[in-house]
Amino acid sequence: MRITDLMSVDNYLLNIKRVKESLSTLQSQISSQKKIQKPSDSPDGTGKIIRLQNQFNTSSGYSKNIENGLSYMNVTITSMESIQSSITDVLTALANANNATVTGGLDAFADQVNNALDAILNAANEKFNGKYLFAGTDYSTMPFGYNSDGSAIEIKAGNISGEQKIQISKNVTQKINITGEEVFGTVVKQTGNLDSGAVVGSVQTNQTSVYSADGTEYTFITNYTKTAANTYALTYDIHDSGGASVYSTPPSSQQITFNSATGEISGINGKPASSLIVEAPSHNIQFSFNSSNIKETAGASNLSFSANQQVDIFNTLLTIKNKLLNGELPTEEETARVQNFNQNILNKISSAGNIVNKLQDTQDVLENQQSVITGLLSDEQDVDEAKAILEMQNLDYMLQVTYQISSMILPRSLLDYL
Amino acid sequence: MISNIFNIAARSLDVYRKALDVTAHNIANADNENYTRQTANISTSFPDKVSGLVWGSGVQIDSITRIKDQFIESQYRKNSGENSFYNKQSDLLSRVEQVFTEPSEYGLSDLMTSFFNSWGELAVTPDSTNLRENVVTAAQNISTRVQTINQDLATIKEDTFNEFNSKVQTLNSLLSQIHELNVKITQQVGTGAQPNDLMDNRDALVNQVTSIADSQVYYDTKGSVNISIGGVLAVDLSQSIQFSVKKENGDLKLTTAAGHILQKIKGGELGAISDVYSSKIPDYLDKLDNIVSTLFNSVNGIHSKGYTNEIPPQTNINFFSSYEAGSLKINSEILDDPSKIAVSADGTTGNGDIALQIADLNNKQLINGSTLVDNYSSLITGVGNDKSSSDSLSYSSGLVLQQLDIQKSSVSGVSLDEEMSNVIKFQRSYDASAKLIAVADEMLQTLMQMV
Repeated sequence: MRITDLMSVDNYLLNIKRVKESLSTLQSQISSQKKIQKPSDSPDGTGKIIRLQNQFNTSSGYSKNIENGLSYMNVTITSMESIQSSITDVLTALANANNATVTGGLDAFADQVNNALDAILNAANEKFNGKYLFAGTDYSTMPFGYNSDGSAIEIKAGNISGEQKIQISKNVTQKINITGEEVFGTVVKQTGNLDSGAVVGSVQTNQTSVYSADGTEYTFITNYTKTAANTYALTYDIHDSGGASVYSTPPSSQQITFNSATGEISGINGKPASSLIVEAPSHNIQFSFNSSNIKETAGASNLSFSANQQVDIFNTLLTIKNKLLNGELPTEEETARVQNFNQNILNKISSAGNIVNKLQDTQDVLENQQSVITGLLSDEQDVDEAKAILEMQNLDYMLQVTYQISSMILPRSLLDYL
Repeated sequence: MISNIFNIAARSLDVYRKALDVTAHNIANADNENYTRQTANISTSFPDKVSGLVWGSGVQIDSITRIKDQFIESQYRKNSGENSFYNKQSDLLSRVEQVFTEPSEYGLSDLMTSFFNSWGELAVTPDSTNLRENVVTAAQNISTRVQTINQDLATIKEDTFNEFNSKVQTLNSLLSQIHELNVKITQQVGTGAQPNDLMDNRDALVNQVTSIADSQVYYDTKGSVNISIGGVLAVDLSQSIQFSVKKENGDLKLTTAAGHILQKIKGGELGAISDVYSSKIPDYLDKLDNIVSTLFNSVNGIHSKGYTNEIPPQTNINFFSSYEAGSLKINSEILDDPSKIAVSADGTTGNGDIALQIADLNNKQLINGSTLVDNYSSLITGVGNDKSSSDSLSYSSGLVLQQLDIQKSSVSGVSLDEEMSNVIKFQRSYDASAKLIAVADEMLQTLMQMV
């Protein structure tokens, strides 16, 4: 093959260009510490980095949520422990008051009960990070307080049963509050079935006993009137022992809709199902009515009620204190309510502890996951400096050799020897 | 006859002087890339027949021809067009891939994750003004990035259109020059001359045309070159066409002055520009559009069911107000007052269910069984693959072209060693011819002295 002078020059320039391009790429990788700087450097690698980075950032977001949740739960547990300690004091005071060896008035015990009541009320209204711990999803409002004439303690917040939830992993949310309803409230639950085959206009009526703050018994009546397919109007009323309504104006009706496929409640007044606060301030009646578990399926209607307690702890303690001030001992039933509350708060501390454990376990899993993703990201995008520097050194040698050889060969021709 | 010696020597002197001229021309053009080495074809001149004997009459130059392999030239033109296509495509895609700023923390992928995370964080404290502001800021970041990507891609499209126009002007100029050379060359060929340098100039122009647009090149027997582009005869001996550019259905087309629209240009630089303009960029924009539209609809679909943090809480409010022409706009009421972000599912302040649902969109398989980020990652992988593929093809076609260039140079290039050898060779022949005249002169002197 004939070798022309222009061919030699072109070859030399082409080789120098390639070596310099490789050198420039390595130099850029070493200075940026990234071996992939643009998608074309490694299209699959870039896609992988984007997905891994997304996983890492998402996981970090979950970790941050969990940190917030843990702080909130830990403060809630501390608060519940303080309430439980106050309740223990009350139970001790009541035991002492009932002790036949004690002489004198019961005022001192009334003071102890009153102090405990104040402590519990303070704890129930405790705030963390600007949020009332036991106010459910209405955490900007102080949840509990005395009514206008100071005769009873009532719920002040709109929805103390609301659950605060955080996302802790893909498709998994976790409740991070213990609701005021769970700890302090009286919850009347309605369960059972409404007949999906019932005709429009038919009414299902049920009733149960409820109690005012001072323990007086009343009758709570619910009526479900079918207004359309899968839709009912819920009305309710409270009657005293004489059968008279405690309301001068009946409470407005609630529209309840059911999912035709699952039979579960799909909404109350167009919103997700939640507890309804039933109250009659003139009679010191207040409780949460939870009907979110009833279903509409084929078959006869059979609704039933259950309640976690007759009277909440605040009003129970208030009644006991007033009795002690009047020289009366609390009834066994009232003492039993305090003991029930003690058991309830212990249960809630335990379930809060379980939530904390779950959050911590998830946090551990997420931290491991983040560590693995960091390793994978590093494998994919970080430069192996030693390797890159060696390659660069090698290319530099090649460049020098090319210069050296070219400087020897390129200027030579027959002209030099003529 | 002594005079015959003079004739032979004189002709020989002339031949070797001319051969040295050709060599000098070769040496002078040794670094001219478009030059084809020439050679003086020397042969014995027609013999004389005297007294029944045939007497040699010396040497003559038959022709001065270019040393060229037409097969290699044709291969070179074809591969030059292919190499130009991939080079240009690689250049343009390199601008396109920079627009996405991936992989980096400023890319749309990280911004989308931050956006969803901000909703997750807001779910913890739904009435927090700071966290609501964070959601708005994260959404604004997405909006800005989407708009920047769209604007940058639109700018690149506009630039490619301008470049297409400019290349067509160059093409027109080349075709016009080729036509002029066709005329001059055929005139000279008609007189029996061999206009080698004009042919070299024309070949260089033809190579430029094939690198701009895929063309069919045909050399006719009169010495003219005919070039067809997109099914139209662009230049021959009689004329050259002037093309203009027309946008049609999002594509770039060439038209003649008579309004005839050419077939789609698929090769050369014009083919690459047209491909990036009408296929690659619109494809990337469609995919991005699909991702952003899905984000827009999904977020609004959930957000409109939620309740704002106002008294009384409002519902049926969209988070994004519009997504048109690459501009994702956030509801201006939310921008003015973040309490209008609907986070609550039931209207209570502390309910963050809507925020949780929006945060969970990050994990939902919203497009073709994949998440938004996975789809975006596929888009970026696609952009990277297109660029990487055009880089590889540009490199491999460059290697083929380099090989062909070597072959072409090997046949047609000037070797100084060879030319200097020729100089010595022709100089010696010239010296010998001159010596022959001196000898003949001496012979004539001898004869004269005898008289």
